[in-house]
Amino acid sequence: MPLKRLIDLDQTLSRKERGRFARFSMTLFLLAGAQVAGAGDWPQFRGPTGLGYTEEKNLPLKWSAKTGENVLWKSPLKGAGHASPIVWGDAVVVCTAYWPPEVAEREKVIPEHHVSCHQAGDGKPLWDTLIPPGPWVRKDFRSGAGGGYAAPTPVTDGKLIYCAFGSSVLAALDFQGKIIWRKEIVPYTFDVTLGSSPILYRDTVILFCASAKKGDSRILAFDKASGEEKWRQQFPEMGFSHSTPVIIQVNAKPQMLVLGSGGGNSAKALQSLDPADGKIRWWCRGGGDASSPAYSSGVVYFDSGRGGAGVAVDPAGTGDVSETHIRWTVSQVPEAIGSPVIVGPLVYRLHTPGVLKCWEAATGKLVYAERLEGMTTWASPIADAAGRLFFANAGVTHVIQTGPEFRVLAVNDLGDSNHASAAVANGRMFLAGLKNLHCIGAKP
Amino acid sequence: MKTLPILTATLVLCGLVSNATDWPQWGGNDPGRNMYSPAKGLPVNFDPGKLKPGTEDYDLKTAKNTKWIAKVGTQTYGNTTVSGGKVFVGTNNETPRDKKHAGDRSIMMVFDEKTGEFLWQLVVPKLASGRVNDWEYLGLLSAPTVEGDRVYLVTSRCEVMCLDVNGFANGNDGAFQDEGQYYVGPGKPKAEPGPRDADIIWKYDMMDELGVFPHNASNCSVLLVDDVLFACTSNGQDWTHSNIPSPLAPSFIALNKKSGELLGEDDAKIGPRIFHGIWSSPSTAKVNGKQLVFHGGGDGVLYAFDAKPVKEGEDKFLKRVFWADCNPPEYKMKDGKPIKYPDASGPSEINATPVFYKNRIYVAVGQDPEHGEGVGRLVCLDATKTGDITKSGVIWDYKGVHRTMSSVSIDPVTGLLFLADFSGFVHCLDAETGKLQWVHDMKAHMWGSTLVADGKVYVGDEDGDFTVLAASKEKKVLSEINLGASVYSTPIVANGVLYVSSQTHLFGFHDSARAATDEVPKVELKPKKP
Repeated sequence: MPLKRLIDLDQTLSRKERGRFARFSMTLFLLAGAQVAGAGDWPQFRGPTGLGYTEEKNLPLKWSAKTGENVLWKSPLKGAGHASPIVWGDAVVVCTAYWPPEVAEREKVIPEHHVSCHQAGDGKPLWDTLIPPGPWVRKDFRSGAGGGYAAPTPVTDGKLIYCAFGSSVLAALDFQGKIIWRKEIVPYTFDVTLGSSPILYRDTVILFCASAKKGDSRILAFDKASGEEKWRQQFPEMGFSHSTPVIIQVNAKPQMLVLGSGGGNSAKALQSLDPADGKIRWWCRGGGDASSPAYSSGVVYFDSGRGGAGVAVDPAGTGDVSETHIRWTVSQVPEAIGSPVIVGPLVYRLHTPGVLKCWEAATGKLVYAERLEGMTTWASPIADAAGRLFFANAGVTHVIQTGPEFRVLAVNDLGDSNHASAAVANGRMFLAGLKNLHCIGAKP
Repeated sequence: MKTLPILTATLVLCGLVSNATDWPQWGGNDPGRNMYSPAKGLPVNFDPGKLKPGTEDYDLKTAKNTKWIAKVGTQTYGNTTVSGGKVFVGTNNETPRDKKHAGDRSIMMVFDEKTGEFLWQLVVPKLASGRVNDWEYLGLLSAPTVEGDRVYLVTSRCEVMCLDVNGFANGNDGAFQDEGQYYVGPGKPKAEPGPRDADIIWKYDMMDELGVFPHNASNCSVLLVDDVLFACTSNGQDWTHSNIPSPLAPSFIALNKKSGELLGEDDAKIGPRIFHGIWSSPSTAKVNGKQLVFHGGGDGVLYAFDAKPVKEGEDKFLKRVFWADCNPPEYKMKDGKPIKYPDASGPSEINATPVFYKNRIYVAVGQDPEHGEGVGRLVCLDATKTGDITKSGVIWDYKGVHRTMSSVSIDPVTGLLFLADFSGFVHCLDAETGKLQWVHDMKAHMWGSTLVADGKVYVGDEDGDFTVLAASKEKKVLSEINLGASVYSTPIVANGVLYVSSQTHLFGFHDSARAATDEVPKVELKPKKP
């Protein structure tokens, strides 16, 4: 089943496909308590659901750069970025930013914007397209790899690939690497960078543009085929954010959760929009900046990702739900950057300094707080169908067994630590490091 | 009359001129800035209680061992000081106390020590150059130094400033008269100073006068030695993190406390070697008959300067007496190649305050929290030596600590040293030998320092947890409570009350039963100066 259809399930699935999805998602729902994707592709940030779930249950638990255990291949990347790889069929696509060696002053030169495609089977480079940069010459490179120019993860529907870069540009490419359309995003008053990844809904590609300059924050929907703007929603009170929206199904209706509040709290940090037209349905107080929300079992959990309160809210409300639908709060969740995930009855939140907190999703009661030594907190976790959580990146990875008891199944290291989250497809895991694109899987 | 100076000197030596149970500057009454208080009868268990519904005010009826709680801003990194019946703390302006001061400002709030009532505030406008020099919403970072009727601090505009301890209520004193303009910033319509505003006596602008380029934030908690103020400048990199715009600007200066006149600048020429910025507040002690001031360098080097400036040509300099590079060789080079800053395995600057204790300096290296975790090193240096003591002056070192911005607490009763690190661990070592006794995992970042007092170690973390540990060779957690917001500050003790600020509130905890009997907390008097 083309996994892009899981994103807008109720609109596009054939009857047969709906049946297939219902069977495996029901099985996995019992394990993970949430809808999960098929195994074939990984079309966007955090996979088919945008929530970090995979139906895989036989991913390798262990791998090692030193011994080569379960490392199928690695392929050099030109430049670096925070963008996660995406996978469609035999294509692995990743975005990077690259300054040629002769560039002495990076704050004056926009790096090359690379969209590269590798063969999933053996890592062979297939094509590498340069996207002409947008207008924003950035000077704040605190976020690390690629200077923050290649933070957004691309998204695909299997026909076109949509990618955004920190110079404030959005582009669509075909699977031969040909640029179909390109659009500069103006104004570009972002904080640090454009960090939010584009997502798809029906015939639109949606980009969340929360800005440091209040009044400029907005979400934009472009026609997938032409790049023409189809609708927009302004957020006049919203501060900056780098969060990627997620589309969830609540009572069989899609909701697009948009999270942003700048550096502090706001009365409308989390907003639920109709992904078809951007109309706002409900909103909730809290903080939103770096992370995406988690959703399962009727609970949306969110925090800013930069420190502040954690909030669990029932997404079935309308209007201001802060006084009516908040189920629980945690007063202070430290900086995390990566996103939380809910598996079964438990919320998992990795935050600095490498501490994994586990709360009851229903009550917020702390189940445990344990260290994952050596972990970056930038990458977002992936929950598989066997109830395992992969805190994976191209450096140190921890695999834990979900449940009320903290249990580490494996600690792995590829030695190429980066902030990018993993992609999972066809029994394999793909990781973008600072130097290489890595493929993890069982060797034949 | 000679009697008065002799009497005064005697009283100063005994620590009686300034009430010894006040905490009048960063480090309290100890110019060596050991995070220790001799106070007794401090509480182990306390609870701020619950917020009144729909407010940010605590209901003290639900509290335990709580004297008072004051709402501050939303980001509070400034450390509390207490002197003359007033409590001083730096914060931001996100809980405005005065409608005429709206928007992002750095604030020093002053409260009545007995009641927690708000008295007056210093309002500092943000620099127009923005976050590269003056990060949004950070508030005022400096712990005010109070002596008599004067308050000394460094503002977020990179100024050393002297204030009237009574604020504007008793009129506009001092050479500086344009407070109304200052509060709003250059070129803006003036504000009308009121009784709840600050009275600026003088200010010394380190950007204008010295060419300093502060990196992101200016923070120094100034050190007062007789009539001389010492401060680090916060000079550092520009926005690109690849260039030092003012490599020739000093890192460390001395000013006349009465006039703000520059008396001298360091002779260490640290500028070109700054890794990131200069943020270490100084300490002082008399060693071998010479008053030394200790500065943690932005190059990771601990410097001891003679406190008396020496004239050379047109300028006056604070001359180095000894210095020690606190980064070991393995943090600098790997496989024959330099380890690039801010790599987690590489070198760091010194952000902590060097602590002087029994002719030794204790200090650890660390970095800006934005840089994350990494390797650290705590060194114990022989302060009686001179010259480059990188090798010869190290009595012991400890690499079990991670990067830290925290200063050590040494308990003179047990000889134990406590140090918090950014990775979330509290380390207990024997101060004499460096032998590790135990490590406690707070499981959250710590920005502030430990305080040791009354057989207890008090420490807060980013989770908002405030923990009391036993100051003993065996690790024991005595209590832990969550204060509802991150605790980035260092707890202090004044007049039997334990003060600690979270990002949003300033808490005063005490033993209510003891306070009800009006029993004066026992204080072990110690010499004002070593």
